[in-house]
Amino acid sequence: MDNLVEQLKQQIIDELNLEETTPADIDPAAPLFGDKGLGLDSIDALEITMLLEKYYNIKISDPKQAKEIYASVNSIAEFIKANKN
Amino acid sequence: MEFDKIVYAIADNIISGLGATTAENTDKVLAEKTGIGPVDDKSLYPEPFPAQRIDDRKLTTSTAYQQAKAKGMHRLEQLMVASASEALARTPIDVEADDVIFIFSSTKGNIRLLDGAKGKVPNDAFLDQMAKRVSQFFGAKNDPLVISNACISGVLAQVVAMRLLKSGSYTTAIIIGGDELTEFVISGFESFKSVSANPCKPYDAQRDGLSMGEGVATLIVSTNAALAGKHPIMLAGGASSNDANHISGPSRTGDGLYFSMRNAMAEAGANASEIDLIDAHGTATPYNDEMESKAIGLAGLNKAPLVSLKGYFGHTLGASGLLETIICLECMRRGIRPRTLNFEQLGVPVPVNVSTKTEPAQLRTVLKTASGFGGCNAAVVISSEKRGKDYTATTETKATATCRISNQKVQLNGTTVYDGTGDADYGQFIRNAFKAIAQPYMKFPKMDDQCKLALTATEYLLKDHGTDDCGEEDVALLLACNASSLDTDVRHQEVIDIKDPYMPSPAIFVYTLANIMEGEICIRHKMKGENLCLVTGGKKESSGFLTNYANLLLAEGRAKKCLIGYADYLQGKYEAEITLIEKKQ
Repeated sequence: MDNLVEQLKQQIIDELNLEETTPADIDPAAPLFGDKGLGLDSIDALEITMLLEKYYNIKISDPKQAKEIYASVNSIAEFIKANKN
Repeated sequence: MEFDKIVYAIADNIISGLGATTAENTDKVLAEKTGIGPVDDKSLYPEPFPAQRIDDRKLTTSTAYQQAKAKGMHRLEQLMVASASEALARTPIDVEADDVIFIFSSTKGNIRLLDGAKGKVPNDAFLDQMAKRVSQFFGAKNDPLVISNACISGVLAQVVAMRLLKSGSYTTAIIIGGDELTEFVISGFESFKSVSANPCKPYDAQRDGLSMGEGVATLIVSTNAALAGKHPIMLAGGASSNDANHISGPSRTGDGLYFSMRNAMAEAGANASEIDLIDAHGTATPYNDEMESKAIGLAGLNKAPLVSLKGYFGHTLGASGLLETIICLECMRRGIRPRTLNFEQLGVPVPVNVSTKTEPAQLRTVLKTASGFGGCNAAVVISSEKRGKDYTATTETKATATCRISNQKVQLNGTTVYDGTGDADYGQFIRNAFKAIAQPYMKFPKMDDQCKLALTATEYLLKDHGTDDCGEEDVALLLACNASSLDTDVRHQEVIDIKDPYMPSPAIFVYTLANIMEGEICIRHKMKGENLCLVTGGKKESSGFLTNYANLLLAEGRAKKCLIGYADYLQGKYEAEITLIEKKQ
């Protein structure tokens, strides 16, 4: 799990172009979206969807489901573990 | 209201899958026939999708179209020539005269030329080149104007035309709008999950996205009353604005669009009860329609009949604002209010009066709006009543400061304020230049190189010569470029050239519009005033027009300050020069 969380952090930084952020800056329990935490937006959410498809072969098509899953790095990691093909 | 300069709509044309004239297209709309059907074309998208397409074979009777084809002009140019020539044939206008200008509205022009170009940018892919070829086909002497302002381009082109004619710069404007259905655009909208699997359902509770479309339209406007005909319709008011909220997501409050509606109605001297029809953007994406309902509520227009024509044409991008205005003009002439096709049950948070029937109605004054990526909005009021105002005010203006970025140096009023000649490349230079003046800004690293350039120039400019004394609507942003977004367009093309896995990126696609740099500046500085994004042959070709246009906005009280200039980036070559101008005290 910890490995997955660290790996996810790096993938999010790379794919979302978070140039000034290091994995250590990301609190895996903190919210990814909104004014608190990382402050990601709707385009970032679409990029996370692509990231999950690219690296984990997981397709998320329902935007409501995405909102819950993408709450934090931890929640994404849990979803990957539960749905890994 | 007494005034002299009236901008009449004197001739028009629409080419879409529904027909090759305004009459044919309007006949289909009033018969509630859609042009949207299933498209299964692997060269456009791997999966079938619903869309509206032009059938080029129906244009073969047009001599101008055949001539354009024989000259080797590109498909979009052929369609533009066919459209403009059909409209021009019904007027005695001398298009070669000094007082005639061609104005183009297009988001992507000949973007299909990037397909197979292997990262190179063909000369014909530049929007100013497309415009020149089409206007020169007709023998035009004046350089054409190209407005590339995302999905508001077609409405904004009318606003600009109206202002140029009212201020006496020209007598007649030939406005041509067009965009093609291409893999480039479809893949981008699909990556945004914006395309519905079914024909779009504007304002409906079940709406789940837009339908793609293609169209070309021409509207000829003139202050020459002799050309106006017996029952003239005029452009009576217009405005643009920015949400200053997000580069792709619509405003959550609707205030930006409301500002455009309010200002256009004020210029036309029309109050809410006098608006007989609103033809809004109505793309049928959940957030766009929601935002529009809020703006309509803020404008007190909840009772005005509301139509979206997207169920007939799909989203025709740079043509949409123009094409849909022309349908409204023809409906006004015929005295019939069109229905919002595919709408069944209201699904927007603020109650609006969606038109559910095609029925006879006196349409004297119609409000047309559009909203687009980059947070931009525009509105125009068309009316058969004598409405509007003359532009008589004059004002003396002064340039407060100019920021110039080129050759890895930032100069403010001629003094170098950041010297990055030691930086390894543009990427490092622009990052360091921004860092030298601003606190870390999360959005900066995500921007494309052109946005970084324009934003950094603005950052330096506004640091000491601020707009703190201005309200959120008081600053107009008027920028030009030459390469449009071609630098990022090449990146998007490279991504979609990879077919397996096929993974178009929304974070790249969103920057494939020239006006996104204005969106980024508006978000950063909370600017919700007038917006305009032009594509010109270069910096020199844009400065005279932008200065005059800014003076007009300042004189008419549409802005207290204007940021005008040029910001262009293409494959390592770049230049920015932005000036803050204001009224002399």
